[in-house]
Amino acid sequence: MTLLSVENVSKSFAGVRVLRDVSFDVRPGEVLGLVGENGAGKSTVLSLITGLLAPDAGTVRFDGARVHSGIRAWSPHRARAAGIASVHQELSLNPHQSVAENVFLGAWPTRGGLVRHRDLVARARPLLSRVGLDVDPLTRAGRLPLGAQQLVELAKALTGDPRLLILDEATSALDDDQVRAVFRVVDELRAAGKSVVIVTHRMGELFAVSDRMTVLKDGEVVATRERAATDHDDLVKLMVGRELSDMFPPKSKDTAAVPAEPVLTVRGLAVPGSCAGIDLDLVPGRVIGLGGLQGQGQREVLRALFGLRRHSGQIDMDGRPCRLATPREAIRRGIGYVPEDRKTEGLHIAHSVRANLSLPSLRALAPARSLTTVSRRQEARLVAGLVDSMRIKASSPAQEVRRLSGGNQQKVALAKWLPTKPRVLLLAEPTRGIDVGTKRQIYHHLRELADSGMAVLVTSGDTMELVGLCDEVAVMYEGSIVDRLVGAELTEERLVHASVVGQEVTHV
Amino acid sequence: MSVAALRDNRAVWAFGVLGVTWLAAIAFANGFGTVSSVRYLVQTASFLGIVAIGQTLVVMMSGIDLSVSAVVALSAVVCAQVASGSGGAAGILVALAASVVVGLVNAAGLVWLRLPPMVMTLATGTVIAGALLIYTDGSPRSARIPLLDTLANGSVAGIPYATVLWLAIAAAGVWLLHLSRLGRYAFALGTSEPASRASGVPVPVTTLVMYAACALLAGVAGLVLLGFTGTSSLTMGSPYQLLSIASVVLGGTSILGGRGHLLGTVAGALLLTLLTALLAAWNLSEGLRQVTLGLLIIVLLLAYARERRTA
Amino acid sequence: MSERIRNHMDVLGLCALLAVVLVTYQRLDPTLLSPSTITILSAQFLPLILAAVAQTIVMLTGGVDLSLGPVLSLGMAVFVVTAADGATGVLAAMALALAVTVAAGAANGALVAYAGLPPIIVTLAASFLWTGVTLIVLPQPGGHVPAGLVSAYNLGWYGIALPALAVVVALALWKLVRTTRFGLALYAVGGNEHGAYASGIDTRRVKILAYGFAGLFTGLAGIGLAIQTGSGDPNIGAPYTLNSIAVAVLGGISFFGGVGRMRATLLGALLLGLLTNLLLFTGISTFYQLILQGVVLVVAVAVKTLATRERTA
Repeated sequence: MTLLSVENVSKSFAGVRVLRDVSFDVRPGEVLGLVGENGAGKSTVLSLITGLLAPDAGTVRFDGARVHSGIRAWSPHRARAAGIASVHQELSLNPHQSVAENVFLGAWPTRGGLVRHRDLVARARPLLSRVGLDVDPLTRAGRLPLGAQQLVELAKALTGDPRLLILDEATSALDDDQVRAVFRVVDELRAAGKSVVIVTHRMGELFAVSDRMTVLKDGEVVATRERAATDHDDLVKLMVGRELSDMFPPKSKDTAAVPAEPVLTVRGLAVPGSCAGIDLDLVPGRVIGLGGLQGQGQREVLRALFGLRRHSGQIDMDGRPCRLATPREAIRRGIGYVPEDRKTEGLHIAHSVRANLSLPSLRALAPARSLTTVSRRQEARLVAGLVDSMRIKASSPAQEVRRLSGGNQQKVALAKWLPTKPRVLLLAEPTRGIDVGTKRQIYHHLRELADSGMAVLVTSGDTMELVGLCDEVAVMYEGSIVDRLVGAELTEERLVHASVVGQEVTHV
Repeated sequence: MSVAALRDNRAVWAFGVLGVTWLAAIAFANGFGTVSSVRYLVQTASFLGIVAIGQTLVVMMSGIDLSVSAVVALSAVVCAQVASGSGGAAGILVALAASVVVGLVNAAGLVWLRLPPMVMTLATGTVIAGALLIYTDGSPRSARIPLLDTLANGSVAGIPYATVLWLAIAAAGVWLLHLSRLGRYAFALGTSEPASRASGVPVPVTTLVMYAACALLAGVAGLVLLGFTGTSSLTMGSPYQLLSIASVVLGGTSILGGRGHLLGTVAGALLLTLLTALLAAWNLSEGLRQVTLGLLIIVLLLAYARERRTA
Repeated sequence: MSERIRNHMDVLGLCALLAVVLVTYQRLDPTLLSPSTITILSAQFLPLILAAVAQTIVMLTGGVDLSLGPVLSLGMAVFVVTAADGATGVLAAMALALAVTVAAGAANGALVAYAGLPPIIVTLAASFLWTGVTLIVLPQPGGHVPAGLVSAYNLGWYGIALPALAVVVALALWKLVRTTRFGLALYAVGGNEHGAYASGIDTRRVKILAYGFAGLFTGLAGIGLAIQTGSGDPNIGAPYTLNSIAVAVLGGISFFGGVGRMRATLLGALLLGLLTNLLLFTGISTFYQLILQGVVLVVAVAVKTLATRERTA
């Protein structure tokens, strides 16, 4: 008895096999975890199920019927009608319409052919409370924080009373409370005999909800395990094909003994509406983390230091006051920034690896004395060096960045700053949505850069990452730094505690 | 260059279509094979071609300039007006300076007022049209300026000066857009503005230079047209507004910016001029000519100018 | 609560501006609110209002229609060529003209939906096409509009301002369409096309319908212009392409789609029309009309953009 079965499915894009003979099934009343590194083919499989793509070979059966056959092609429209709903990491909400309109997006209830807003609101309320969201249904969706939008997306998926719910990295932007709300919904569905397929990079979540796990590697299913029959290390080994013992590089050697002069001193930094009174000392050779719950102003601190947000406060570089009003000023002073949103801000994804890597250093490649003509030879040398040293996997420097895997994209977003010889490197969520193997490489790169004399500032929602990578972590809560953890104090327990204590202190 | 790369290179497509069309014209219509007809064709294509090169510069950075038609008229009208009082050289200089100012105003509106390019250039175009009405009191002058006369009608070694000027401008454009630092910045801006800002691309300078260059070229085209016809009019630029954009797109440049080659625009302008001449040669009525031109443009765009769907 | 106020800022701002203009106008022309002035003004404004409504619909999908002027001329041409005296003759001609413009709009929409070409390019190419078709239907200015209709329309019909009535009916029709599933889908497609598709909305159908509706309102504008001027002219539509974009932008309709309200477009059209007429009264040369249009456009959009930027960046 199965609800959904994927049988010997293959799919290629432009001659590259992304799925090879993939088979798995989902039973009624079951939660199946789908795991694998980036580029393992998880999203492609899900797209076949939800009707965004059609397979080259093999069949997908839902409720016993082949979906990709017959006169009418399988489509998101038909999948939704058949009872398959999905929530993706990339939002499908319309930011300009109200929450209520978004919950029923495409399936608005009508009376006499007309959509009544009172109906929409009345019917949206119970769905919103089911996902633990307390907002006015008439608020524009774009005004909600990212996590809340993700929950609206979940409420939307529940409208048609789906028999199969697909959660594709749907919890990546959520805080712990919100994740619990999602799992409550998953449990309800399971209890009602409905099925769920969940994709997440967070292992803890995976083990908390899944009944079984199917592991994909390089477009093939390598194993399907019952939850009781596996553990964290076993899964990682299956995904990566080897064990990862040295995930994090060793930390900087006892810098407390010889305190280096900070390259950047920040005193009383404030971004209206986001953060205030931020003090930071960025020291060469040290990796400093900004921790705390999601959205406590960490992101804005980085954006202010890179000149992307208007800010006030005293910023000194090498002891002299400096103004960071635009990214150009920040770059000229030796600051590099790897944003959280790499597809819109970190990279020109429609451009080649070459063009991306050379963009910040064009001033050196095309000096005024050559009438600003870009030297192709120097550019090629620069790009080849970076591709080599960062181990960027691309078919050629002319390959478009959007064709690279997420991990390689992130390497490009980081590598492009290196030729500008930055003294300060700012990174937001440097490994979000990136597979384990590449994560490890990025951690080691960051440590090497710090060892070579760079000051590194990282924000991350991943506690383990901050603890493993950073020399010091400043914990933020509601726009302020509430604690600083160094050396032996820097443990996952202390970090989580500090994030929550901040909460208690400000709520007294 | 591999076959796949060639298929992706839409500028090459534009030249291919141009060649085929030209051969077809020679085979199926009278008078397209002679040297004089070719000379006439490249001469008439120059006016559109020069405007279209400017348009390419701004389209590549994801902009658009709807004021080119007004600038063509502005340059010709101002030149004729000034020349009648202070001589031809003064007229030319004032006209070109005025054109550049328009381009700078356009760019300033985009950079500091954050207006969408379509709105800003539409507005400046409208304002110029009004200003020209007031300046000329509704009746622009004609002028014979020897330098412009030679430029528009003379030729060297059988090649019209206008064409030589066009090709020289194209060469300068290729350097600016494809070889220089500023060109790289324009491409980057055309692909993603937020990513460009966060990579330190000098947005104001790039915008100012590209829009000023676009307006300057529209001004140059206006002067050559003035030399060609010997008279200026308030509507003399009108055809170039949409045709310059059509040339850019038929030349394989993405209207969304960031993709394409300036040389494709040269082919695009030639192709449009050739098609127009061909339709005229068939003695079709004005209406049928426009219908055929519209359908041909649509077919050509379908053949090679589709935007890749971002999945 | 502030959320709702913010949503209506555009409309409120335009209303305030319009009130100022109306008061000034009333000073200069005390007959402003008399039935005959309303009839004349509404006849004068109707083509621009309806053209802007059409442009707004297309812009809400995230597109722009550069063939609006030619389609307007086409509607006018078909109407004046086929219109016969008598109610049935006129209605048949109207129906035919609207059928043609709706078909033209839907053809634009089909190309946008299926060809993978950006709307600006499709409608640019289509502008040549529809200009040509118009010239085939009506090569020279001329054609025939029944004289009784012309005078009833321009001078009032039993004291009713027919053009004003037509605008009200057209806007009511749009209001109705706006509350159907298609109306909501239109905003959804404009706001996040991929999301709308992934949510099961047939985005292609929505686009074709949207361009079709735009064709309907453009056709109405063309018919209105024909009746107002009493004859047809194959080139008269050209300025409406850019003017309709200007009005829509003035009304706060975003080029990126999914944002804006039809009532703001209406206010924008009225504002621009009244300002232009004001120039006549103040004795400034009509030559300044174009400059005024350009300046109003830049100032309005710049104020709006800078006001929003303060909040976000």
